[in-house]
Amino acid sequence: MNKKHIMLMPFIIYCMMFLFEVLTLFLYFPKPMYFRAWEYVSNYSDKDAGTTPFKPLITYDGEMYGDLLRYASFTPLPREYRRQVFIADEWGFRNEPKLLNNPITVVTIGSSFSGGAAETQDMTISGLLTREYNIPTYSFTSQNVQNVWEDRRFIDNTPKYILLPDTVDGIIRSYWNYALSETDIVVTRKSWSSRYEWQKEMDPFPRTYESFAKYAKRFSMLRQLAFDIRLHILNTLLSRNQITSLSTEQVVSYDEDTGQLYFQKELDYPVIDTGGVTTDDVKQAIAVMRQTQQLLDTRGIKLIIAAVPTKAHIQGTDLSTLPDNLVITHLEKRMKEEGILYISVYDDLVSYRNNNVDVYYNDDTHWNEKTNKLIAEKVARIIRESLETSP
Amino acid sequence: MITTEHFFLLYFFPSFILIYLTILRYRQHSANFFLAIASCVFYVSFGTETAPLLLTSLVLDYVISIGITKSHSKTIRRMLTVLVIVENLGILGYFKYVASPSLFPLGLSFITFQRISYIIDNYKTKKGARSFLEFMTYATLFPHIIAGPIVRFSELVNTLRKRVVTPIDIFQGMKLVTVGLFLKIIIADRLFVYEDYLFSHLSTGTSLEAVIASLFFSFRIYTDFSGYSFMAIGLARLMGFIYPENFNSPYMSSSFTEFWKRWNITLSRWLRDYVYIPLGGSRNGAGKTYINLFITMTVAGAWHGDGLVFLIWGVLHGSALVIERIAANHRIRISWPIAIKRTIVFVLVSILWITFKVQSIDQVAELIANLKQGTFSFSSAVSINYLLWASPSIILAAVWSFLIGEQKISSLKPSLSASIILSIIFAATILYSLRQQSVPFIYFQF
Repeated sequence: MNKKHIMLMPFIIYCMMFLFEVLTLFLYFPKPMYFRAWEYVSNYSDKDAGTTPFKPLITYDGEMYGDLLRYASFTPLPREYRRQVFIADEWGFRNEPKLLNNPITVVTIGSSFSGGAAETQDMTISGLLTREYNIPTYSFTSQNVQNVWEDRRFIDNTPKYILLPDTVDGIIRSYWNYALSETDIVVTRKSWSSRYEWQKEMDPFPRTYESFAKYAKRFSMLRQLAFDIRLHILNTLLSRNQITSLSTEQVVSYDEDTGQLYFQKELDYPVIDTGGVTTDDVKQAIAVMRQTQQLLDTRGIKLIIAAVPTKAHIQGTDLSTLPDNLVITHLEKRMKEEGILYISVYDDLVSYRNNNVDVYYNDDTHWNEKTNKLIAEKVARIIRESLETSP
Repeated sequence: MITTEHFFLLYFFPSFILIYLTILRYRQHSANFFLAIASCVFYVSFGTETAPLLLTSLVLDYVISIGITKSHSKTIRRMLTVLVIVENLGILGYFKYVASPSLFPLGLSFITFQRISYIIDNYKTKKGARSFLEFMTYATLFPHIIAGPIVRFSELVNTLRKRVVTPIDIFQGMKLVTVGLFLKIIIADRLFVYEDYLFSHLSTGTSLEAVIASLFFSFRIYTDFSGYSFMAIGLARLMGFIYPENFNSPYMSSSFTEFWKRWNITLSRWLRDYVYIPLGGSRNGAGKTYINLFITMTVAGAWHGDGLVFLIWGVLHGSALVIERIAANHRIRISWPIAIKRTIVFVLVSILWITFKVQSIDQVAELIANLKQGTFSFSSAVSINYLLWASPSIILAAVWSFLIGEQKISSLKPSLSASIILSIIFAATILYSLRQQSVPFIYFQF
């Protein structure tokens, strides 16, 4: 190596980093930038992300692990890898394509809990209802009752039930999921014949400096490498307990004995009663549901609510120390009194817990397939009973 | 597009430098044109709202400078010089004191001072740019346009007209960029995290935490600014330009006079040549000297910001310089060990830096109230965790400030081991920078 090469060495390294970055941006696809399938399939287009949550007609079939691992700066253990299949339909919702070519019985709405962020396609509530119970169910995750009401597809193909599964906190506080006002608005969503057709129109290659800079940073292989290297060094030098206790942000709490991860904020108030939710909040939520049900009755649709205790409640608390008159039990009682269809899973989940069966993933904020199966089974029972009793 | 961001480091600059070096090698006369365009692209990446005004000012200044060069009348030349100075100060004054802070063009304070230095030097020497392209290239050079160093036209004129980039320039440039990145990313930005946490929890924090926060900020402003300067000088070196040094271990100063010879050297130089000396400097007796010193430092304070705190900062620094000058004139010497003197100067300078962080009298009062509590513990486990996390950076900052410093870096010669170490530090620092959100350079706000 002559003196010239020695002097140029740092610059050559710099140029190599540059070339690597550019080539991996343009030549390497798909990008392994996601810590779970949810990010891979999600729609981040500036144009239609609000109405189309996932990339239309996308398919993901690969590994995933829990979202809490990332917050905790943990590398996944071998047992924490799960296979996940994620398919989106021609409108960008998590369903098999052409599901709406046939009559639909149930539409599920709500957040990532409803959409099965941590689940493979067949183990989501909509997947289970459709495949195992032959109840055609359309997953309309990220949308609410109002969206169902206004959607042309559900005017033409009216479901009999709208199902909202969520944590009890989400049910009571998130009125926007089930509030409904009568409108004449009809929304006709665009269906796409291929993902590339959608991409060309809605998510084209960025052309301005700012959008390209954002895109380049997001899909930077060097950045991904930097994250991975840091994670591996951290997890090699320190135990999970040490990583959590040395964290400056304290976003996540780790229980070394059970291997469970929780959001710290959730663990601070594991039972929503201590977080400020009262029976008055339940009263208000039910009033909104009642109003919604009255409107839905004009189209022959029934609203079904499934309120699940939070992870911190069901898995992070000593259940024997909890009082009997919890908000979740009060909610169940009031729903029954009002005649709103309600899926009660609390006692079943307590029973699972007492038998040391996890109902949430240890490394994720979402509940696991056992809870989904429980909800699907109970929904199926309601629907069957309703079919048996109807004229 | 700040110089520590992903897009600049891994797209803009490498593309630019490779194309630029190719052009420079084969078509020298086109290199300035390409450089001027790239500099404009760099500047407008921060926003285009004020670009037309600044471009107009650029053209106007150049046209007037031709008039200054060509005119035979000293009166006309002086009038034109004053016109340009007033125009530039007027623009600066408008954006600093009248317009909404969100409209403030990035780097305007530095641009203004650089422009004034050009026009005054042109007036004195009649040696300005030979063409608009040459002037534009000088005036818009992107490595230093935002936060200095304030480089004089005379320092760059020869290289603007003819330059060659040699392997030694590449090595020196990369060395300086690496050190600059390291100071900024590994030290300054990491110090920021804890410092920001402490300052935002001042009302619930302890006295110990207030002291730590102030200390952290003192090291951060130095490593942040000197990191930026190193990068600017290094990037310029890669293009074939040699900028003057801007820092020289300022926290090793044993007096305020010495501090201002080591901190933001190009600014001190500017203030000396264009404010202090025109006011009379030290030529008109002791009393006038003290007044001139005081005024110069007050101008420095006002230049930094429109708040009262900046003025107070300038006044206090001016007062310190005056006191030292009085002591020197009366041959009053304090024969303490130099380590003690350095410690005192460091502590006093650090206290004065607080005005740059809190930027309002109310917050200064809150800090003082906190210090008066006399509580010497940590307010929470989170605070301790932050300190543990930031401790490598504060140690590195102290080592840099008191042991290594700029001179040792300047004297580092190319060798295999130096190249290998630099390459590793460079790559590791870039990878580290990609993980986190960029923290804007402190001096960008001026």
